[in-house]
Amino acid sequence: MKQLLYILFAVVILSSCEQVIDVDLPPNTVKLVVEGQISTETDSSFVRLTKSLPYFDNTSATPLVTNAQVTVNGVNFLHDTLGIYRPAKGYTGVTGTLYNLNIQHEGNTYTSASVLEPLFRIDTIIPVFKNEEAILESGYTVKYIGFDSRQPVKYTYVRFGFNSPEVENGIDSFFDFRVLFDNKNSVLNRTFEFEIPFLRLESGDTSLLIFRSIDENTFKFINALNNRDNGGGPFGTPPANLPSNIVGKDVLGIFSAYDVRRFRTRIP
Amino acid sequence: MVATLHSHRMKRIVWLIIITLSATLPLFTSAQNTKHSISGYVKDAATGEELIGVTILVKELNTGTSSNVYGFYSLSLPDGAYNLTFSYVGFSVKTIPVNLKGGNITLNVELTEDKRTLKEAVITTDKADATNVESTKMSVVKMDIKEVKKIPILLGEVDIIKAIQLLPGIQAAGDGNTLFIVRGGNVDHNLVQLDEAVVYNPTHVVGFFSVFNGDAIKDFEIYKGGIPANYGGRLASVLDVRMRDGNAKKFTAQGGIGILSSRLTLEGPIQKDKSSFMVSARRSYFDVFFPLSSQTKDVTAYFYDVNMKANFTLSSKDKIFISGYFGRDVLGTGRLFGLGWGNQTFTTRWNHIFNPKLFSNTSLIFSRYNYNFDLNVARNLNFTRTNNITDYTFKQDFNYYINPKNAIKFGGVFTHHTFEPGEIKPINSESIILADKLPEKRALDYAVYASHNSKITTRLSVEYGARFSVFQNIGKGRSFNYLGNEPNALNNGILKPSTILDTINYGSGDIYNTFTGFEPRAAVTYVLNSKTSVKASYNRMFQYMHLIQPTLASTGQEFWTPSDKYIKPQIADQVALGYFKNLMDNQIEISVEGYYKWMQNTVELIDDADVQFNEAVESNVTVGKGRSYGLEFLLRKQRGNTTGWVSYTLSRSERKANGVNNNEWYNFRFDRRHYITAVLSHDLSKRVSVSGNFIYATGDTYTPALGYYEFENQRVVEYGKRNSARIPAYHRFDVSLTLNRKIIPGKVYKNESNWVFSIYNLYGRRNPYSIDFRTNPDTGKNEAVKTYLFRMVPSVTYNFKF
Repeated sequence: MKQLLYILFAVVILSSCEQVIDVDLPPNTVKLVVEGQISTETDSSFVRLTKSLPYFDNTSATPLVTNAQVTVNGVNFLHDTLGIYRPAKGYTGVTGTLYNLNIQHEGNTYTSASVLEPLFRIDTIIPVFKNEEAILESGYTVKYIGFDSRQPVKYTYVRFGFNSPEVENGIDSFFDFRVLFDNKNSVLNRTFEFEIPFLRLESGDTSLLIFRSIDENTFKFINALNNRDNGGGPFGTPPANLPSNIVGKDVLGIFSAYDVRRFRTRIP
Repeated sequence: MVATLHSHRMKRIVWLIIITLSATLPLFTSAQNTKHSISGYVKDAATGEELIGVTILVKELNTGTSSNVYGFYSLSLPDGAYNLTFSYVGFSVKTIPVNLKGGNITLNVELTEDKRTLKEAVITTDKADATNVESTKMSVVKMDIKEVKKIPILLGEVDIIKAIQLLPGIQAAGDGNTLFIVRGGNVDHNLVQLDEAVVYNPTHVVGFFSVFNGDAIKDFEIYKGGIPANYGGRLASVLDVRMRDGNAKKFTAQGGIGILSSRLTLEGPIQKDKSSFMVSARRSYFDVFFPLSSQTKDVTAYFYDVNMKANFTLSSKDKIFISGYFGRDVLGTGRLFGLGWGNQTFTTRWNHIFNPKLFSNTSLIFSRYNYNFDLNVARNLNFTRTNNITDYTFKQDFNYYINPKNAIKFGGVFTHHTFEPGEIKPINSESIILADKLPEKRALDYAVYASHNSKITTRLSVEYGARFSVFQNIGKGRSFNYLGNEPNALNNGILKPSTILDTINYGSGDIYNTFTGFEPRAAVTYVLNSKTSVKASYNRMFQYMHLIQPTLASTGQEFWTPSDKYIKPQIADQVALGYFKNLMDNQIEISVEGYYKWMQNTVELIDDADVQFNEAVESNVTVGKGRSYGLEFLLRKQRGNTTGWVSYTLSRSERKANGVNNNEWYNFRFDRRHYITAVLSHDLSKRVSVSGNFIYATGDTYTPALGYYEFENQRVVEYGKRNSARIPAYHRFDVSLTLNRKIIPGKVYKNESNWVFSIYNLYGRRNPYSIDFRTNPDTGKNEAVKTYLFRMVPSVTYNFKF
């Protein structure tokens, strides 16, 4: 009887069920999609131009835009491959600079702007062994020692992951969540330590950390993207379009200038 | 500026109240010399519970009254001999001859429950009353708790909110949900009161069950329009729930064992016929099955609630009631995360009869809602986050019964609110989360009201009045000044929080914002004949507190915030027109009502609002307006062996807000064009009864996907206009069978018991709860995915009483 009740309960309450359904969607206007990045790493800046597709078009390849004129602060970005436009070799973003994007495409002008904010100082990354606790197994995490004096509020976007020689065959694996934070409540002008709470790596792995300083528009864009990824379902946030900072007719996407540091740390 | 505006308006309103009341003065004077009063309480003969809304008719004068929410009635009549008829749904009609000569009479009356069988019901000559036709009340629903208990309900858990959702104009905010919407209003536009205390979150189990334990409830009424002046503070409706007083005749126990929960109620006299108590407790126990599965062995999930009440008759003129509610939900997995919320209310009331014409109720009320969220991921990452709201209320109400044709209600209410929007504390000293607390917000909330109910002619009755409300932000507190003087601004078509320029601190007791509201209310009834009437009503409502809900459905994380410099009070104006007709000796009631409601300053969140633990709530809120209108048809039979109703609602509800949906009107999320319900209950014999419900509703709205694009090698959905698409229609059929204990004629039984078997969603329709757009991680294809909750849910409950 108990088993029966349990099964009943589990079926009814615990597993809200999902089903793929057919829905008729309103017609879609094709839009220009901009993914623009100005980076402080040399030869890492680019602007990628593609077009949006109707939601249920699962067969077409992403349409690439290869014939646009793209400039950033007057520097030409030329089409390289797969809709990606790059400046001439040796291009490096400079902190404290306001970058203005201009795109001419099919008679339309698209503009955007982003300030390249400096990242806080990260002095060192140190592996730390952690015992099993709560839901986490024992293993290594990493902590970093840093120093921040930037004001007013600055935003940081972190991706982290690992490279395991046995499992990953040399290919980096990134965790599929994006970490965003600001320094509103941070301790400024003093050395601080931060230990990444969720990470558990094994000996021989390499931890990967990429820190980017981003502007407020990019912060809101990535935050909304996180909401879409984690949300959904009845208990998620109401769906809405990601807040683009590109000005122009029928356009989506984000143009972001950022300062970046990458760290690879081998776990002993 | 605020102060000047306030004082001008204040003067105008004081004048209006004086004029209104002075219009009634001739009635006071002319009434006093020539008549005497018959007054008293009407009670249930079996339990001594006071009955609310009993109709008292004076046949000789073709006039009458009804008992108030405390069971008190008063009639002032010229000296003479009369027959008073007392009638109440589910009770036998009682006629008492009275000889009123030279003095006032106190007449306390006890009515006996009507337990006739099929045959007896057919031959009865008793006439049901025609209150619904004659009264000035419209857009109001009153249900007997016994009627509620017959309705098949999800998991057999008797629930008044789920019962009212079967009536026209009141709908569930999602399948199986007890949050409700009234005439196109938001879920926070409903004032939910338990023994006069506000219940801020009337739900258990993230909305699937209500906090109201059917065994502890005496009576409830819901106003969806024509809201009387003694209620205020919410735009759309008032759900006024009253707890039972407890059996004043004998000690009894009743309870039930169900799939979801068990409950037990103990009640009895403290002093026979004078004072009594009632304690009712309920606890869910589905968590006992969790250890049986490895998937759920670490899961904690339960709720409990306790209702307590005691009343004391101090004298023939004084009664005191003390009642309380305490409930809590606990949800969690192991030590990793925990979630809890609960309401606590405490009410002390003193009923005093100054004279047979003047009845007074004085209440002291405490209400608190709290919510906590604990996260314990690791020894160095853990915290507990809380938010609370606490109210202290003093309320004074008077009922003045001038004569059977005129009655006045007046009074006032004062509430002190404390909002604690958030506090974070690390669980241990190693946690990297620092303790932090958002500043508390405090507010004073006052109102005075007066209303006059008058039967101008035998055909024409009016009830008119007004409420004057004041809401003030009081220190200690603080507010922000924003760049551009607005907390958010449009930037490339997107609403973004503005930069905070500076912070203004207010000292303890400083009043830093004052809002006033003049809220006229009026209702008129014109009786065409003894079976037919037409009614009209108007009400203006002010709402000074707003629920901030960042997610689509309730998760307990939502919190209340007061009106302030940036979040203005919400205002609603509603007009309603109705046609009421009774058939077959008032056995069948038919009504048609039409309404139109305008809403101003509605509170909408901006896209991807950041409101969790953010002091600058206002920068994530945008001001909107709303309009909703509809037609409601109801055919209802409340007496006899077959009871129930059929209803149809045709309605529309829309919103418009700055910075949302390109500033164009859009559908309210729960806008449903058609809503049909049928509820039928039939007693096959004394032992067996069957019930069934059917609901059909136009599908809820959702925001459709238009297209998708790539960003960082991931597909991102591009959405269309807000709430511009609809999920498929909702419908379901529920049935139940009640088996009472076998009764052998002539034998006396000390206890009663029954079994209730029910099936929710008999044909197992997968009614969509929501629709999401996402890319299938295995196939890489875009999909539309519906989430559905309750397919066929059988349940069984055993109830007992001894």
